[in-house]
Amino acid sequence: MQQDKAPMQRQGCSLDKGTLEGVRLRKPDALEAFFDQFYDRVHGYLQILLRNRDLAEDLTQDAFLRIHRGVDRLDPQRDPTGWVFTVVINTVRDYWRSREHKSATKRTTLDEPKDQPLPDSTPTADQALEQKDEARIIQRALAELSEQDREIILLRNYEELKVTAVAKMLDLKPEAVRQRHSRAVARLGAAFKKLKDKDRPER
Amino acid sequence: MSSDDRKNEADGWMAEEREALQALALMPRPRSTDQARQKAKAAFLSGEPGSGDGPRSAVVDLPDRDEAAGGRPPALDRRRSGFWSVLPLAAALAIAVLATWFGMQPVDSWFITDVVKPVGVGLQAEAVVTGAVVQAGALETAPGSEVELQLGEHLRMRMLPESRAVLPKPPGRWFDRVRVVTLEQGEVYGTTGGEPLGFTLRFDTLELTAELTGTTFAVFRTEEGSCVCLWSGAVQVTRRDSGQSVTMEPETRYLIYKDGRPSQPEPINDMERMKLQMMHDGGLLPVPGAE
Repeated sequence: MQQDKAPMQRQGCSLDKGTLEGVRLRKPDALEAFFDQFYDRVHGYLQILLRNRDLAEDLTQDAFLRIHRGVDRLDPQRDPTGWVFTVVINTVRDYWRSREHKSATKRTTLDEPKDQPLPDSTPTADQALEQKDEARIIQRALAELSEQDREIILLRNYEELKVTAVAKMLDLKPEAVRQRHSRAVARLGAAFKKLKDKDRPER
Repeated sequence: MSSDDRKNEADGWMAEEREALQALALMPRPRSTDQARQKAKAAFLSGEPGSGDGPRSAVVDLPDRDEAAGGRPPALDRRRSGFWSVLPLAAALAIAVLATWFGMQPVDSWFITDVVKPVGVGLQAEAVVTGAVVQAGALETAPGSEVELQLGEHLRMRMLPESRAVLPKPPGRWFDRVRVVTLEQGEVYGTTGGEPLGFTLRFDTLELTAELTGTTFAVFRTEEGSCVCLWSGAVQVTRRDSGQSVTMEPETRYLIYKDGRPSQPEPINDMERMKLQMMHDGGLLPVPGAE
């Protein structure tokens, strides 16, 4: 299936055009390769964004079903990453607007602290202890941001998508994306510094 | 991220921001459970949601969109919840209600400017003396009694002996600015001091309706019928029997007979002229308590 070996950028899609054409035609092996290519990435993005693994799993499945329904309009000549994340963003936004999210938000507010640590963050063996601490702090700093701030930071800095691609996904002008991203990063930096300073005497 | 983007942003970040972004980049990607992955894969390959034991759909009550074909995501800011959609409407409604209520509050009141034989004057007032504030309602003068009232700085009216009328409450500040004096019998002279009234004043009798837009006038109700006399300004008189309206010229009188005889406006007589002239010349009096 991997006939045309023209790998795309690191954070893009490594599937070749033949595979993508197979995806468009819903060939099982191509769909499987496509799923394996994007599942962890989509799920990881959603789990960090939503800070809830169960919900991230549900929405990942929803997003992939939507992808399946619209896959016949996939352009095999182009990197599908932007298209995939557009579907993911739509799925999340539909969820945010849904009754379920609103009731879940109410329940969270009343019953439990909102800030849930990210589960299953398994660091690689060669990561230093300090990096573990920083990963924990950045998770907490992300948790202090609004969902919109987290969304744009994750798209730009975690998924490493281009400004123009993010602008298209969010239906914004590139300049608006830069401004929104800049403000979000400022808030993230402030939260990160505050948490780090707070954490320091405890060590 | 493109190299240009990276270069541009790297130059602009503050130390803690750069540090946070570095930590973010090193953050390990969370992984789902194997079970969820398998279920999602099966659903994706078949194009159908999994059976009951799979992850439930988190988005169940929304219609399908063509976003999978590259459609743009809905802008959250532009899609308001029901509460936020209703809030501006509720605020506008509250403002409208308050403004209407405030606008309907009168800014003036009736007060007595002159009384002749006060014991024969019946009205709703704290006392029948000059300067007393008068409430809306029935007003009557006995034989030999007269009372003169003024509404703020707008209108002065004098009721001659043996008159009976219903006095309206003062007009509202912005709204509710039509006022009707019902004259049951007797004579009433009035003036605005040469200025436009600023609200609509109507006199009703059994025979006519007279809408005044100015300025010195008299309305009588006698054994013969009802009569309007005009010194200056304009009055539109409507006959109740036929509905016919006539706009009167200054220094004319229009008597509408009880028995329905036809009539036309005619020049005022000398007595009416004298009384109207006195009323006009007297103008408006200072409002008690005002500077």
